[in-house]
Amino acid sequence: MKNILYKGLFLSLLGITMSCDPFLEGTNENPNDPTAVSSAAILPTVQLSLAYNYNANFSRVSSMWVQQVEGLDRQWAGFNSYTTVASDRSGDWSDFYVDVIQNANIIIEQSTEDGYNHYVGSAQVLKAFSLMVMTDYWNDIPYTEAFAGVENLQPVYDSQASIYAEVHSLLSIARSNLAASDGGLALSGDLIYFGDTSLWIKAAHAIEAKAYLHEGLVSASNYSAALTSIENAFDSSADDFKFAFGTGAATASPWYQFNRDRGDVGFNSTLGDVMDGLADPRRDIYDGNDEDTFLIEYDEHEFFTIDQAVDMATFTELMFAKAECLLATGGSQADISEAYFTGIESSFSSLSLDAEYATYIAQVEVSPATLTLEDVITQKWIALYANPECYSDWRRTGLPSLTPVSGSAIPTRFLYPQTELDLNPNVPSVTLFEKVDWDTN
Amino acid sequence: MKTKLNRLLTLILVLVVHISFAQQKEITGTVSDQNGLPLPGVNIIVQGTTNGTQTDFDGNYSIRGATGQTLLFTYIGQKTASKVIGTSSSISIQMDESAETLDEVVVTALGVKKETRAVGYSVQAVSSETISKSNANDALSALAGQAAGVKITSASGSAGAGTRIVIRGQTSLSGDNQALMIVDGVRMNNSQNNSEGRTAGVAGSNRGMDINPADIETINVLKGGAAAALYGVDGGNGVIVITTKKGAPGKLKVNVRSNLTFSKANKFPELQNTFVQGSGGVWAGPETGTSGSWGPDKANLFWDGSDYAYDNNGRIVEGNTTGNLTPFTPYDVFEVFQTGITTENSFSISGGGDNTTFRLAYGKTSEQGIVPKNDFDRNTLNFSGSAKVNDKFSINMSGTYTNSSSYRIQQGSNTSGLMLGLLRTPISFDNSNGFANAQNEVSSYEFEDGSQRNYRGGGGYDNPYWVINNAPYTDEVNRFVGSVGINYTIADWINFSGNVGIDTYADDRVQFFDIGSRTNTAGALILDNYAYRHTDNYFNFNGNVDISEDLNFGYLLGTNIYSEEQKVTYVEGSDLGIKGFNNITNAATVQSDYDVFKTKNVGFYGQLDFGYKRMLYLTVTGRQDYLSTLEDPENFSLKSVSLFYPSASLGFVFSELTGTNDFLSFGKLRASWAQVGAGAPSSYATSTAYETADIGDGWSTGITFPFNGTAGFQINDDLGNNTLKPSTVTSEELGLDLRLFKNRLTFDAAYYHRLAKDQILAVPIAKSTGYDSSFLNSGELETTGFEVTLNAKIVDGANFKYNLGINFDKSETIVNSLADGVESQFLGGFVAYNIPGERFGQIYGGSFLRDDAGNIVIDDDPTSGNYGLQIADPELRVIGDPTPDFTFGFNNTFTYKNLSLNFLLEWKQGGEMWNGTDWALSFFGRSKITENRGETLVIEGVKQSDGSANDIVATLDEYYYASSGLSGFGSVDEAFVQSTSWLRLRTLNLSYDLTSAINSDFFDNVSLTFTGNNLWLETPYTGVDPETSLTGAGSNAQGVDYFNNPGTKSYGLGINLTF
Repeated sequence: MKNILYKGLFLSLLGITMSCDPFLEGTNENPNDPTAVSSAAILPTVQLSLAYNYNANFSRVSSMWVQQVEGLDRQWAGFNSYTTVASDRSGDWSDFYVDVIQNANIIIEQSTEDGYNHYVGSAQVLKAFSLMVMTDYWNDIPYTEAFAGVENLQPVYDSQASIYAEVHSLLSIARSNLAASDGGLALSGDLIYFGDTSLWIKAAHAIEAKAYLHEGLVSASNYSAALTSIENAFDSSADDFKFAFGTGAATASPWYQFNRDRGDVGFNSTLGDVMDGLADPRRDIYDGNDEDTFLIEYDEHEFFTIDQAVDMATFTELMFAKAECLLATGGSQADISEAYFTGIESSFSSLSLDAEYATYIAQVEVSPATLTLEDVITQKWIALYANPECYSDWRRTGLPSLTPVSGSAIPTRFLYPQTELDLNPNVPSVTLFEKVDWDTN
Repeated sequence: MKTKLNRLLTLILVLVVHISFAQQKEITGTVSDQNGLPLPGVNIIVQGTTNGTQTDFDGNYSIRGATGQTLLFTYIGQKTASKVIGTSSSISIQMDESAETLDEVVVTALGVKKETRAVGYSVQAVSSETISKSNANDALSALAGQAAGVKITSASGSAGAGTRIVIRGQTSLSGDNQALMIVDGVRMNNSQNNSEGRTAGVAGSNRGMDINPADIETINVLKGGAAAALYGVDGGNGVIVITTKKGAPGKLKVNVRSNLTFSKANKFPELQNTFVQGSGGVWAGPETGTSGSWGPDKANLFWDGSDYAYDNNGRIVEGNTTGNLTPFTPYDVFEVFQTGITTENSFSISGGGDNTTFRLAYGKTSEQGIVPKNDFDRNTLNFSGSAKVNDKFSINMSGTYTNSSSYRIQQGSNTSGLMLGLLRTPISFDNSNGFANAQNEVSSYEFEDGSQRNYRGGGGYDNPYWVINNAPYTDEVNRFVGSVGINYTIADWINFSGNVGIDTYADDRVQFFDIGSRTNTAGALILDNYAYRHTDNYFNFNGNVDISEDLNFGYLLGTNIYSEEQKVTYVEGSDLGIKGFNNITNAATVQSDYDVFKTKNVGFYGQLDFGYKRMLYLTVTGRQDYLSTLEDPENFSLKSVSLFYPSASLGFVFSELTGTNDFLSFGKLRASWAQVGAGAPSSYATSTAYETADIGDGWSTGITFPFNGTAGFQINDDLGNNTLKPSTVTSEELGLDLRLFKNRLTFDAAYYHRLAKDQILAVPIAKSTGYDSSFLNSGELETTGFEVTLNAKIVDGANFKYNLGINFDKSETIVNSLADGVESQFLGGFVAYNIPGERFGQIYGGSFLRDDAGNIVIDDDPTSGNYGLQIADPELRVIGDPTPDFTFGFNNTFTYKNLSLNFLLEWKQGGEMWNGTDWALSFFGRSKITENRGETLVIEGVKQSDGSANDIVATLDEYYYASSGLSGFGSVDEAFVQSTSWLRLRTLNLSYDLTSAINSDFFDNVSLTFTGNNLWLETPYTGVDPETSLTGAGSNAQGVDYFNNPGTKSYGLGINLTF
């Protein structure tokens, strides 16, 4: 009896000791949230997050600084006169690094493993676009050491040139992935092109055209490269790289939500005066109530509608880009003019103003004998209302010619966010009036 | 087998044991105390010889003696017992407590009983008598003022409100700082589950409340690291070791205890009682929605007697215009409070035979709060028993089933908070609408059409009576806590014990906001269920051996297996269909959530005790923990010693060296060092899961998936960290234990130092890492403290005795650092922050702008609205510190024959609180400080433009208090930080022992008691009783008062019968 008891006790203690591993194992697996999610369920997040944020601060601040809209109230009155601090940008990095690119990386990684090429390709396109936006506004940004979580809490900053090299590389790989087989899983959860890979390939060319155009001042050969990309990109506005928001309050577009929830921004008379001078019929669509902020009658704004399809790369903009590149590479006036008018026509058409187009271009101010860069960029500035691309155009070309709202200069970049200043000692020290590397203007 | 086992253990212990005995008969047995608990360290000698021994940890002994000789059992605090050796070789006895009890035995970690003299660290015992005298409804409240270094905070005076216990300051920046609770050797969960944001909602219970104080025999407080080291990763915050009452062999004992207690609010915020609702000195009635009391002085106001929905007396007019108007008299906003009544009844029956004991107890506590309908009911059924199967094998168990339920009232920072609506009510509005019994009269708080009747014409805040009736929060808890233990004596030097405990409860809550609530206009209903279960098992080998006459050795080796699981179901319904129907089926929109949290911990530990000549005592312990919440693969390897927690303590009874005399009865120096854990990572913090994506830009509502029916997930932006480990707490302690003048004066002092490193903090990280924040091991807390306990029998006559006990405590915890790039850590409650270099939990907020010399800067720009007033400093800074300079407890007991008077005075010096109530009430013109409105003065300070002394005459008026940004709802919090120093009569207890007067054979004890709590409070704090916590018992944010419900004072009568 005694012996049995001893044995029992001793063995049980030993048993407990030995069974420690299985006893603990698996306990810390989170049952409350999924630890793995299919790419089809992450892709919508990346797309919506990119579309929403590209058309939030980037759109509002850029179009304010190129004087398409004007900040009239509270913080936005300050931003309008270039009063902005580092903490105003913290949210943007959270959106792009944490929400967009981090999740795009996950899609690329897990779909590469599974061989689902179309997911890889579309995520690469989205990632390339996001990186380009980031470097266009902040120049040097962390990339090679970024996205490592606690493994590297202080990633170094990569040069703009290396980021652009990565953008081109990603777009090129993306096209081959999109042209390859789907690996057994067709693209779904795609809220932009709904699985049409040929359109994704066109979009990759369109984004690359934008990239070459941005780099135009770095090397003139980039204008020719851009022309090639444009040829391979969109055939019409129907191919545009855009995201359509919904008609419900919970699915509303970012500008509509801003006007509804905040509304501190209104139409800018700088753009208004130019458009008035051309009797531009698009003005009525752009200007909302044309008096106060868009908060007034936010629900009736004809441009910032609840289900606005927000543009990220469009046929219209590529036509103006084509005209610019042709001007830069000594193209013929006929070709320049064709691209230029196609751009204007496409803009009118997308606003359902086809009937007004002929009258509009009949004006000599719109159709001068010889088209200059100023004509092209001015029309692009009018056509790409609230589109962040106009801020790049203005920085590269100085067009349209704008008077600073306050002080002697308009900002030429964004400040690094406060979170980066606080937590990453590698962040470069900059002011609002320094230029990004491609901006040698 | 036995030999093998011996060899093995010998090897493990690296100890060679030689025991030899004289040629006499061996007598064995167990010595227990009056409660049947084994007594270790009892001296046993064979009378007239030098042959002696001591009982081991479990009260077992063996000694050689011959038939006819007498064994003498002596033990300090017990009556000396003697037994003649007969034919049996087994003699077990139960010793009786002597009148001179000195609590010589303390229960240490893992329930090991030790002689006080053998302990090298600080342990303080609180007896059942003390607990009973406190008349507290929960065990933790009973400790208030009783033990040095133990800080007890009642979250509020509401029925069922929680109690916070922190021993010797904080060890964790963001984790729980409350002590581990052990009942009869196994853990008891003491968490406070929070259904909603902590600044709003109701005053919830902490789960330690589920134990009936009447079932507690002793509470031993293990304060320092060395005392708690055997609890390893969970020992960092100290341990409360509760031992429940047990039956004792002998006559069947029946105890009946009954108490009736009345309670009232002990302190209300100071309000002005002069000015009525309005603005600019002009009356504005409720229908205008006016929020403030900036109307005219009541002196010349009259009621016009007109038909007026908001007042039966009519509208207010200035002057007696018709000559026969009724003069206006202010309404009393505090009339909503009532006298609370608590009844507490306990019944127990206990007894035992030679080998078995049992105790069965039932207790019922019904507490009616000082706010109508607020109540708390608790039923406890407790059973304990023990059986001695044979000389070697015994078994014991104890278990408690608890059912508690409560009806709670919304409080704090929410538009349904009782005090929020109540204190803002102007003196010209009667929340009760003239009804004496307004809480049961719907027309006091609702109009005929069902709309709310409140002082802002339906806007603003809920009428207190509306809240009481239409926003109830009810909960019910069913809980079982129990343990079963076995004890087997393998040989005289080795003993096996096992203790298996379980704690399981279901906490069901229903929070309701009827349609028309100012918080949820469309109505809302929240169902919350917490299903909790843990098992806590211990298996130990222990024993002790006298290596030589002078050298004793004891050991303990064991394992602890702990497993915890909590399931939380949350269902929120909104947009209710019909008014008054409190059921989820009434909700048009329902959202729900279900979470499971699991943790497990396996620990291996050992303890070695050496005693030399009853003079030097050395204890070393070690524990190795394995946690499920760590990811490190090393964690699971038995070779890993990464979570090893050692301790060493030394006790030097120097009075053995100096000898005792009339002056020195006993003297001991003690020193200890320990490294324990604190704040283990919570479940799943090591991995990063996906969550439903939520997109926004910070300026607009944004979009939450699913988007038009499409699901969207994203990786959680709070990154899991697979390198997380528990924080490490290293502590050192020095102590002196003196007994003087034949034990009439006892003195105990302790100094301690503690460093808690590698805090687990949710830290913001650079977004370029791909995440917003992560849990990192960073930050350091350092505590130093000094505590003294003094007990003096000042008068010790035959009939009259006066005993004075003093507790003194002074300690501070400094936040040495947070994480890199983190300048402050928000703790909760608007203004509570941790700031590097400052004490834990500072009040951090806005202050007045000062120049370099510290003078307040005055705005002297004539065009400024604030001309002549102070300027708000745009930078936030530390403006207050809740940590007291020191606290004193004076415990006085006078005994005259059978009459005993006990009172506990508590003096807390220093410590501050942000009086957010006053801050808000200044805006509304209800604070007492706004009564001086219209006063002109020159504010002391210097002019902003040239630094010259201010000479601008300013007026303290509605503008100053409500609009300048310097006072009510302004950015300057400084003016509302107040000292919470206090002197309070914590308890007063008068008891009369009628036993001898009745002189009945039937009754063993009959006593009557009168108890008072908080009968007197002296404090400069102008709000409610400053012993309050907006964010509740479980929160680290203390020192914040924002419309907290008031505390209480109470007095009660009790009767105690034993027969």
